[in-house]
Amino acid sequence: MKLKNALYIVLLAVLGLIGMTGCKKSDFDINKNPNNPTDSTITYNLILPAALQNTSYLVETNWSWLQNWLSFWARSGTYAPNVTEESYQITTNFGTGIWDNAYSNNFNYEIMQQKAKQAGATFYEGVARIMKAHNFQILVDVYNNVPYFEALKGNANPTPVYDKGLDIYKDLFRQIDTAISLIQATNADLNVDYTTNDLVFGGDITKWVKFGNTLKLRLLVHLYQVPGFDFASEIAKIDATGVGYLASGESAQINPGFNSTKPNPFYRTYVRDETATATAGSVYSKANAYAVGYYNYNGDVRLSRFYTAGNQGQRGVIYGLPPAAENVAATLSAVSGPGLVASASSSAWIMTSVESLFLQAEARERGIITSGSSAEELLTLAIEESFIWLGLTGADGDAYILKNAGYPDVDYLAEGGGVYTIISQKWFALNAIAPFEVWTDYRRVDESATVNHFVYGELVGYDPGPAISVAPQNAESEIPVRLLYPQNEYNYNSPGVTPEGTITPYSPKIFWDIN
Amino acid sequence: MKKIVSLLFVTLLFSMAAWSQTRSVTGKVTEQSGDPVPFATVTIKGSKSTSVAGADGIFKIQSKTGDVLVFTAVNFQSTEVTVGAESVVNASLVRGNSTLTDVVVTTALGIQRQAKSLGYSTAKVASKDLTQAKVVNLQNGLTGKVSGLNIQTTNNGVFADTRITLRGIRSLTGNNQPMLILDGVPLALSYISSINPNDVADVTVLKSSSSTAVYGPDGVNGAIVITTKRGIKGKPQITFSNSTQFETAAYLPKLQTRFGGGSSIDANGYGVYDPIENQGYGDAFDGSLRQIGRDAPDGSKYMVTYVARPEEKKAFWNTGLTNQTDVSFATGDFYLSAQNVDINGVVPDDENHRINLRMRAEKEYNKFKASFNVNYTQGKYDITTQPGRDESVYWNLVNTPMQIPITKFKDWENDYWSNPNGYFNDYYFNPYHIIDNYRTNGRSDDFLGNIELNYKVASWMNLTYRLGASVTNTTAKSTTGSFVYSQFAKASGKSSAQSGDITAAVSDATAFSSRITSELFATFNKRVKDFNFDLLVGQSFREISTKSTNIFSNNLGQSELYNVIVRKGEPGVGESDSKQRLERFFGKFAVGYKEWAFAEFTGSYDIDSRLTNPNKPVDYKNIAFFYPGASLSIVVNEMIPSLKESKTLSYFKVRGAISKTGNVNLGPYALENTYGLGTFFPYGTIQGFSSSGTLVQSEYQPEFVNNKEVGLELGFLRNRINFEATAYTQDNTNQIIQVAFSSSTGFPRSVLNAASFTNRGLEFDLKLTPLIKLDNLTIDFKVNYAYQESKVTKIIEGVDELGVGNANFAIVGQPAFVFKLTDYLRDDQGRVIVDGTTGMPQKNTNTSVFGKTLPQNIIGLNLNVNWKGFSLSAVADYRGGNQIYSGQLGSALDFSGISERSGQNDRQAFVFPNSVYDDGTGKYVENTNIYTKSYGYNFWSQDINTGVQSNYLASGAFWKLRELALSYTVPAKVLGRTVIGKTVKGFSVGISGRNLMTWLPSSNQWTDPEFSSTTSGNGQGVNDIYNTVPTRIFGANISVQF
Repeated sequence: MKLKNALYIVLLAVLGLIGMTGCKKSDFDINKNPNNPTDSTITYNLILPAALQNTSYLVETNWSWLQNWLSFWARSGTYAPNVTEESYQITTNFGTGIWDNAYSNNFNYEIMQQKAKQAGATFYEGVARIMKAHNFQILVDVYNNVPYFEALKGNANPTPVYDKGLDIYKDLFRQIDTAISLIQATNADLNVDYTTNDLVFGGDITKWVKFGNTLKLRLLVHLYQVPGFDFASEIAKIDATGVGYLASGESAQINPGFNSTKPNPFYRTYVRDETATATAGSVYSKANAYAVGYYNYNGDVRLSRFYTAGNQGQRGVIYGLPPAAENVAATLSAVSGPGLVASASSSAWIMTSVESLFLQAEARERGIITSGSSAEELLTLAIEESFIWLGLTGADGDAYILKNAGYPDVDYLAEGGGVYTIISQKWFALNAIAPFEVWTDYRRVDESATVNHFVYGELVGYDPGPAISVAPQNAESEIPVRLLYPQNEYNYNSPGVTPEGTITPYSPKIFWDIN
Repeated sequence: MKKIVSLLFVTLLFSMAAWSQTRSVTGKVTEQSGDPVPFATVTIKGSKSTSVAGADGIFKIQSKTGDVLVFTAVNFQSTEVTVGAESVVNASLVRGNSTLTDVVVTTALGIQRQAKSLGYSTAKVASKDLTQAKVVNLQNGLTGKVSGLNIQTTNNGVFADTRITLRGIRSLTGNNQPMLILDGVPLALSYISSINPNDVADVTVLKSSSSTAVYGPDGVNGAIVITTKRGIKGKPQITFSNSTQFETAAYLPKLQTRFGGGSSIDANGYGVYDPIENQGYGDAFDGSLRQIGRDAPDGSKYMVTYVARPEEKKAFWNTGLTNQTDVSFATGDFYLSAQNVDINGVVPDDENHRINLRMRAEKEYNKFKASFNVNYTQGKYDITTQPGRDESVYWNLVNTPMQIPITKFKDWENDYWSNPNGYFNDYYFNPYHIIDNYRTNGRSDDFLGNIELNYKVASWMNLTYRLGASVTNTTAKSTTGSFVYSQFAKASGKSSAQSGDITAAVSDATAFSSRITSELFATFNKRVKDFNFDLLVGQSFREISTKSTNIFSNNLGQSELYNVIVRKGEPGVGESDSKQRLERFFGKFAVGYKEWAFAEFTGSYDIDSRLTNPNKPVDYKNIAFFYPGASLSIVVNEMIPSLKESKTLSYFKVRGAISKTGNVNLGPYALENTYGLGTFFPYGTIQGFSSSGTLVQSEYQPEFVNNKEVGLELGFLRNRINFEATAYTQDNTNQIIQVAFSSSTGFPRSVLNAASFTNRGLEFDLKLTPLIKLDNLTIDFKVNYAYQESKVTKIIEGVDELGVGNANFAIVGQPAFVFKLTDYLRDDQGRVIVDGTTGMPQKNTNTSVFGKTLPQNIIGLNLNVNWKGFSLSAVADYRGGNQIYSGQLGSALDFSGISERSGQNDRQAFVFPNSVYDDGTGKYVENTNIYTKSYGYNFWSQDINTGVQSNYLASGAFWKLRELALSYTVPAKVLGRTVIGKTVKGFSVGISGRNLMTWLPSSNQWTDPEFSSTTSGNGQGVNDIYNTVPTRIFGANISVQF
């Protein structure tokens, strides 16, 4: 055989062999994820329950620093100080969980909204819009200007611009309006599992509309000092729905079936985790001496609903105190009172009926709401609802009001009462429940508070102790009025955050913080 | 399997095809044992006609009757044979002196090549050098022996985990460890721990992607090529050997020995004794009798003399024991071996066992050759789990004040004072109880099989098919025992009893992985006058599949049956599957001119399933990519006639290589955003999923590594002195990185194709073989040195910093990686700024950049002394130019007050060293007299000390006496005269030690600078509380041959 022929044969043979062992195009089509749902396979109904639970985590477990600043909680003597927090010298790495969790949660609602829209599942789409509004309101109240219109778009917009807080607020009203009409148009056939997957109201359309209205009222109350806002037309829209606000016993809260091995978020963070192990949070965060003293001073039986006594009875610790043996965790009251979480299977609140009534009271007081029950009546209802929500009775609330007659922090009619009473009572009632709303009250309400008692004024005959951190490193006399943008924004969204300029814990203020 | 069968068929067809041959003299060059001698040079005496035998020893040369053929080969004496009338001339060579020119190395695809023809750097380590210190894991035996190879023992203990890198790193966030090739079969590097080192004939290290071009992405970090032993022609040989080694704690962190338990200071500033404290901030030791812990229920007290017991901290650690037994049987084309290894670690009760069986056989039928190799390895271990810091052994040992005789508290089941109820420490736990309570029991079964078929189509063409399968099954069961504190302990106020009840838990995981590789390639060789052409074309296919499932419950109540069946609530479950395929077509074309110029060109075309967009039809445009390479080698002493006969310069080679390699640094399924199960979901029938938070793209480009290297190899005085130098640069572009991201996009993390960095280095090897040679005495000495540096050139647009974990950062303009840690506030001269009144330093809230995390200089020294039957070998190595961060251990020791640092200045107020204060005008004045306001417990255990990370940064430099071994082999002559001489053919005994000595700079007060909290992660230089203590190993061994 000629060499040339041999070469040909061999070459052909080799190619033939490779052909036989070689792969087909379809052999490479094996990159579809067999382990997890992906963008192309996830459906809206799979997202909602987890997203709602994450909202309850956002509301209940990201705020221990703020609970401390607001004198509800304090670090126990068992732990070393968190100097950053206790001296208010916060950094761009402080409290970033709020930002990350709110946006992550909203991204899930966003995807759900898109998927639901495609499927005509208006209930899910509407719920997504309301819940996003809820979270964006928190973001604005903590950071003022934040990415909104360009946010949540993934690769389509990796560096979203920051929108003005007021513009975001304005759009939230529109979003809630759209949401309400979508929810009202719910077609049961097109909304898969919506009564079981809606962990908040079990598919109750009226309650969702009430929740939307109450959320709007929260925005309106925040906005009351902002000039040029048309309160009347928003109230008219709310009235037009004909269902009003979340009423007594109508808290927005979830309970997918919490139990000791799948505990409620608050319980899991501040009591025991799913293995029944006491958490770090339960040892770190203890009652604040200021709050304990104040409830005691007023003879307020809610004290032992908010806190569980330690081995020395109801006892708090002063915020910022260096660690000391007499303040070790076991001697102090726990922050997880039975009124908040009776057990691991308690429901997890997102927005309470208590707050709804306080919002109505303030709105009526300020003339945002112009008809119906008086501010005083609404306030009394709110205080009663607080007692009821915590597992006491409305009568206990009435007795409390009576006992403190003449003191403006409880008695609406006392000298110096009125708005002051509403705001004070909100502080007493929303302990641990809605710290961001209490912080908002502190910031937006015009007051001439003394350093020691911030918004709550000087008490006659009783000094509840310092409300400001006593940490030796602390040189500030006021608590911060905002958080700094997270460091990741400066690193990865510099075009967005840079125009916001210099941010300090005290400026710029949130747009509604005008006083 | 269908494909494989059809392939076999085709191969057999070939064997039937007759092939005409040209007339010439052919033959085979063999050893005396009959084994072929590869690449022997055949020259006709007195003429220029030269030929080179193949890897199988077969040669062909045009010659006439009466010509004298001269055969030369490395390690053999040259032999002359006169050509007679026959056309077949075989030559048998006798082992003897070597010439470097003919060294043979095993390169990619298991192909043997002449070292002189290689345009890139390789290194070969012989079996004897690998196992001289009786290592259990092969990689430990490579340490210090190859320039550019960095083998870091990331932790001691029963696994002795290692991290292996060659020439630094090429990926910021992906894999940087080389590939493993065992007898030609590519394997996952992790398989290296399943190999019996005594089975290894030699290891070749291919240092860069230029030498591993045919493996493409797998070889981008170089390769460790292992050739195992095969049968030896002649009488069957049975070898039995045993080695027993002890492992002991070598040294502890620097400790203070002046103060006992306590956590406060009195009015005079002195520590106050506290019998129940975990911290050591009490008063000074005075030898008095003191109570430790609380009173027992019967009122009794545990009393100790108040003195420091530093030896107790060392005595806590076990003396580890490792026993290795080996048997092997070798004959002809057959090799069988078995190994048993039992390891008891330094952590009490930690055990690891390994059994290894291997068989290798081969058969030749004329032109067809088949061989197979099977290996089974079973590993079983039982170790402490250490699920969290508070349940880690070291942490609890550290939180034991210096007066505590910890070794007295072993029997926690029977002894009240050792039981958690009565244990002195109110806040932390008895480490002996921790060890017993948190266990993991695991097993792995590794099966490796490969078949190789080889058909010699013609003298100039060879076909090889190789199929390899490695299958691993692992199971691991972790258990947590329950413990309920007594009512007495709870009522006493004992802190750990308050919330410390432990619920029993169990986790059971199984994982399966298989890696199947097939390689088909044809080699062609043609000599045309002075030119030698080699062509290789091939195709390879690799499929990796994994499956893992796990089931667990964290709540078994007080059960002592560790099975999810007794759980409370729902069990946790998990399942994960993966599959990826890679098909490659590769080619290599090599040209040799005379015996002095060699050029090689390679090309690869890869198709990778990981690049397939799951939502689009497969498009080769997106999943396939091509990259080339080239190398050149010139043997100057052969090129220049005047140098040929030089006695001084016996070898002079220059080489260079350039190559580009694509690497898909992605896992499977990385092209679509995923959703994970929401916390605790499902609740009954309610499902819930959340976005994983990682933003991926639907298309990625492979990362490309551009490797350039040049080298010089010199041999002097008949290669008694060898010198080799290599310089390389690697440009690593288009790196796939995961960055933190603006959460406002919906994703806190994003995976991008963006970053670039360069990696450069120098390598030097000097071998003095022998350094000294007297009658019976030979002394060999080898030094290797590697210098390595890198520079990050790009992260992503607008971002110049990337954290890769463990405080390691890639920062544009800086080496990859540098530390970023918190530090004190400093002035522009680096002096610490203290408060003008309190004398206290301040923590800088922003982190600062510190030095490199990866070593810059690596030196290895190897010494071998042979005298009659005695052999002494020593290996020492140095690494330096980097820093290590011992934050976890260092701050734990300071917090607990047993570190030397925490005992400084007698725990009294002091002037902060190298400090300045603001004199009120903004000018910084040196501080000589302002004493710190806080001191003792209030300083050293507090955030102002323990929270300043730079306090725990130290130089990462070290010298280690890595190996020291002395052995005696009874000479055959002596053995022959003895009674057993008839049956025993060889007998040797030895003693060996590893890590006998370590020299550390004074800044490192904590631990072994090689330790790392991660083996696979890129963030290096950071150790943690889960590492054990540094150890030294020593033992004895015996080997008998029948």
